[in-house]
Amino acid sequence: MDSPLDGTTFAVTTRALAKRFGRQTALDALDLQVPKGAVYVLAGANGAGKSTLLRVLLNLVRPDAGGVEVLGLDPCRSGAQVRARIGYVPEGPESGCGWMPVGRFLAHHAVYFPTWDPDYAARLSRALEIRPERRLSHLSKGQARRVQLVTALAHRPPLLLLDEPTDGLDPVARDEVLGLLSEHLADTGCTVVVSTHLVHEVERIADHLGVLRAGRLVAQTSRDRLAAMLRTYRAEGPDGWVGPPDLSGVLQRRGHGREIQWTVWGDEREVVERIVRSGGTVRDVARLPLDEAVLTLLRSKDLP
Amino acid sequence: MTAPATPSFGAVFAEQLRVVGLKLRPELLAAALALGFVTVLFLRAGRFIAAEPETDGLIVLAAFFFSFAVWRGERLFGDGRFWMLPVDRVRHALIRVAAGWAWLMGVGAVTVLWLVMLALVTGGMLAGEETGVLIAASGPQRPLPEGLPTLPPLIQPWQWLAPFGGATALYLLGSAFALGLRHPLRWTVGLFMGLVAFMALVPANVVTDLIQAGAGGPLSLETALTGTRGGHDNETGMVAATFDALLEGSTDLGRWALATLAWVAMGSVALAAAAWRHRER
Repeated sequence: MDSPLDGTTFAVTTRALAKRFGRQTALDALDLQVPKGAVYVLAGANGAGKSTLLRVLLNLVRPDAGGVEVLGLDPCRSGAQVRARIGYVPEGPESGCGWMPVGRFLAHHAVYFPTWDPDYAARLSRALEIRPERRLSHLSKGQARRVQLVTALAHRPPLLLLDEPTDGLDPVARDEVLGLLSEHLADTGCTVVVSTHLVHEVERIADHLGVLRAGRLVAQTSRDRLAAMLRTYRAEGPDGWVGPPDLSGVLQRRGHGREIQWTVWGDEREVVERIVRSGGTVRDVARLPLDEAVLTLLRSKDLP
Repeated sequence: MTAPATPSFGAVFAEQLRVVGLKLRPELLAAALALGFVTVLFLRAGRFIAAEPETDGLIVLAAFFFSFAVWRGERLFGDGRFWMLPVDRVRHALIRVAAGWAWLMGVGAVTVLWLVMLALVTGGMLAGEETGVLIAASGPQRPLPEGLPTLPPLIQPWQWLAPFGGATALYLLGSAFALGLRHPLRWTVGLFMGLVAFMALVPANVVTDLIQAGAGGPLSLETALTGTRGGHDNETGMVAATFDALLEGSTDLGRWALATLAWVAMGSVALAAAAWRHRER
């Protein structure tokens, strides 16, 4: 289900990337393509390999096989240069820095990132109501998340890797964060990879989607193409009607009496034609919201 | 002009100096309290001796575990924040070790100066009396006469540097443990228990021989820490015509330098191997 992205320049690419932890496969023959300037949502269930993939991009985890390119650099060879160009919000809390007050933590990052913008950091801190005198270890999950976001954004990197960025945030804070993120994107035009299993939370900023299942990238496409190709079709037919026998790209099929509903990856006109040719009447064709699309792709056993 | 993508070595080192200093505040406070306690004790009791052989063990322990404090709380075998920063991982680890070492030397210098001042203020001595006896005009094989005078402290100016060299070696070894092992404390306790078990199992004379070889050998840790020939056997074995000759005989700058070099080299190799475990690839 890869979209044709010929001619597109990519901020991140992986080729046949593989990583195992003991007997468990974390990443399996993964070919990721994140176009420059895109907001790429990496969706998948817990343990699907999303966080591992982001860590590989930062060279925090070494892949067992395959190639990686981030902003034209190989993280395995130029790890420091790659990390300097990335704003990263990790999934978990900070380790080793719990004793630091928030203000000191931000100053610490300012030293490490020569492109750090102190005014922007101060503005973000104010907007996210960050109190610099509080110790990191005393912050709640949501408060720690806000601090991590400031460290990720304040050096205005060309690539953001956000691992569950809204995790722990209340609805108001989530809205605030997404608003800031949108502003940041409009200002910088940077590329964003957001890893999440709560797709609806980031739906408003997403323009590309990758779906990971058990370490495999089962779908990768632009939001526009997803909207155009993935539809639900509700049709009715005579008694005993089972629908078109040659309908390809079916991800889901449900029958209720004489009515059948399919979720199909394919060209709408062609799908409708086949249903009609088989004797059915199409009652409704609908797009799927992003989170439902992800759910369908994750549940689907046989992807086209 | 565009800013460089990665920070300079100087900026990272200065930041690590600050971070390590701030992080070690509890330990530094504890050391200051201990010094204060010793000061009060000897101001009341009088006659403090600045450099006693017993302090060697303390230096070894303090330097070794100082490295553990430098890395306390860091998730080194995982995606700790330390590794997420834009510095080559091996270089970053070595910079942190260097920053910790600078603090160790600073704390050591302040401690030594304080103890020397305490010795001077309390009318004590800079070193203990046990370092030698003067047997004027005695032949090498003659029996020791009764009522030998005890010598004033035998300590050369360069010997004040000796604990710093020894502490450096132990700090490097400790850093190798802290950086290269997932459970450094468990390994340390395990090795200690293993040593104790070994000493309990082998015959006593073998243990004595091993201890003498280790403590009194030319490359022994004691030589590196004190600059003496080791073994504290000067009282019975040293025979010299003059005090100066005895002083010359009991200490050896070359031997100390060699022992220190050997231990620092060993620590450096261990540290390099530990840091290499965290290389970029």
